[in-house]
Amino acid sequence: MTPSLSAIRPCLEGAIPGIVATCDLQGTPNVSYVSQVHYVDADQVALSFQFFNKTRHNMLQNPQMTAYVMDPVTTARYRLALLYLRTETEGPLFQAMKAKLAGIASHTGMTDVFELKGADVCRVLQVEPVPGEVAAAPTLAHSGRNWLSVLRALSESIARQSDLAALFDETLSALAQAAGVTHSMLLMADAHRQTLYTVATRGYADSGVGSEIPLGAGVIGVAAQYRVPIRITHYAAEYGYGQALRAACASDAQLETAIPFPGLPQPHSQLALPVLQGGDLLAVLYVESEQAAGFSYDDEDALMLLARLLADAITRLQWQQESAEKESPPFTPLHPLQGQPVVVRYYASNHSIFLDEDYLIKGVAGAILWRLLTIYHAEQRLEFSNRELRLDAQLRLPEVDDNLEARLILLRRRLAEKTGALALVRTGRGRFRLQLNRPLQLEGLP
Amino acid sequence: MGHNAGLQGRLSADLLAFVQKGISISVASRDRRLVPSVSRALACVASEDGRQLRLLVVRSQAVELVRDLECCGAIAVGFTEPSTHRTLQIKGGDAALVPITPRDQEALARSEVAFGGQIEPLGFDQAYTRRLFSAGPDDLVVIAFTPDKVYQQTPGPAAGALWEPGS
Repeated sequence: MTPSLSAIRPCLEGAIPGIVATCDLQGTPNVSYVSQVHYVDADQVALSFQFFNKTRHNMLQNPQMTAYVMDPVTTARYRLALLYLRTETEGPLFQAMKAKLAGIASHTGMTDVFELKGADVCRVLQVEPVPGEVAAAPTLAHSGRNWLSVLRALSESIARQSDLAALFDETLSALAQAAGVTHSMLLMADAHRQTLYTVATRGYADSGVGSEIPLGAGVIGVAAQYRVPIRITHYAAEYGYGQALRAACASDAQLETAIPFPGLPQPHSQLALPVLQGGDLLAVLYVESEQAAGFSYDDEDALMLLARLLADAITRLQWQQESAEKESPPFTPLHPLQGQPVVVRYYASNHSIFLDEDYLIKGVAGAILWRLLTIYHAEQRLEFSNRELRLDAQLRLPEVDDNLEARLILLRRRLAEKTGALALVRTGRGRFRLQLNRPLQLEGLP
Repeated sequence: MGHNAGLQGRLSADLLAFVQKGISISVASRDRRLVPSVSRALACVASEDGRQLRLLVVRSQAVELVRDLECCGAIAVGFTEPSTHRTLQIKGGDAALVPITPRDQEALARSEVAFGGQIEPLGFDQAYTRRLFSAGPDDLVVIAFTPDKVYQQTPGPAAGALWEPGS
């Protein structure tokens, strides 16, 4: 039986370079190595175009090619009959291959040599197994992830959740327990500012909630910008967050830099998956590992399915929240607060907030907190609704940003991490309470 | 240019040593309709006069390649040293099947050991190499050809250039 292309994907991870044979119109064959024979879909692969060479010259004349790939574990070998279709020099496929090639180049000591010029897309006409001795393929017990079972449990858990914060935490927790994904995070998209902000993480000493990644930076930023999963199987410095964020800070003064990004300093495997609803980017799910080749094509498939479930759940919970917000918020009587006042200093220029001398947050979340505190100061009111914030003329929340609930989750978590003086407590769908444990002294500055 | 003047009909000692040292070898040909065929060779040994290269190939793994070589004789052979990425491609037009000799068998045994030593540090164990080299004794064929041109193919800006002796 001829195997399907998806069944031979372990051969297409770049662990062993592919061999590609071509022929010019004079009948002279050519053979060369190609760093990546990348799986595009059930009928297509893309070859990494790195150099202007004879292979390229030949395939443009004569699109018939034959590739030879090997499984790095079992020694299974396959020949692929290919027909060259086109070259892509930008876009999602190009970016996914470029990132993966950076990992392969780094692993093979070719960082300054390998650079992707294009993705040569080919139709796969035939997958021919080459006869020969083959070891048994690794079993599920070996890879440790029975994705169908994990996804069934995850889909049930996701369907049960009634608020976004629990959805985020339960999902990352289930990924760790059921799939052994120990380092993960979820970042929401801020379409207005072209950034992503971290709302939930798992596996790090500091949560990093509130840290930001600009579109295009590192695997997370590229996955967001091109709405495509980005997977790297070996450490690549140019996709590490140290380098990506240093470059981004220089060009965006508003970027949140006081809260460090929590990622591993040297991830050997990285996978970022866009969470999409329609064509809109809602968030990015990111997983990483200290092990090389920690995530496979199958892992990418499974986690893209999870991203799809998350997109539906985020949309559902936002809609439920909207429909439940209608009633007017009750007023809570105040009790006298004890202790030394906390000085809350607010800088209007970037909406940053400091509690005494400690930085808390800036941007939209900072503006929201300041607005809540000034309303409290004027009206002695502690109960609020998402709806009133959304309609608030002073806040002027970005119209395109409907992730208010995610902003509040971020604010709630930052407060919980940084202070015992005040907190945000969710009191129902679309409603929350400002909980004050110490007196506040507000100082608004330009 | 029909031939590389630098070869002068013979392969340099450095080049001969490189192609015979037990590295990765890939072989391509094509059929009458210019559809390319490709397979791996397990070993390469120079003929005693140094004018031809002899490649050991597993016939059952290279049915189309052998058919194309018998029909057309056009051959391209890539040699890559996995540990250094040094790569050469040698082309010829007179490839033909020839009987296997004890020298070829010895070269095969040497190649397996040397190639295994090359790829073991890259994470491929001896069992992997063994599977790669396993072949029934009647399943081995030898392809002999006269090199016409040698190309430098090590990844980088010089890839594709004709090989110059001493470069």
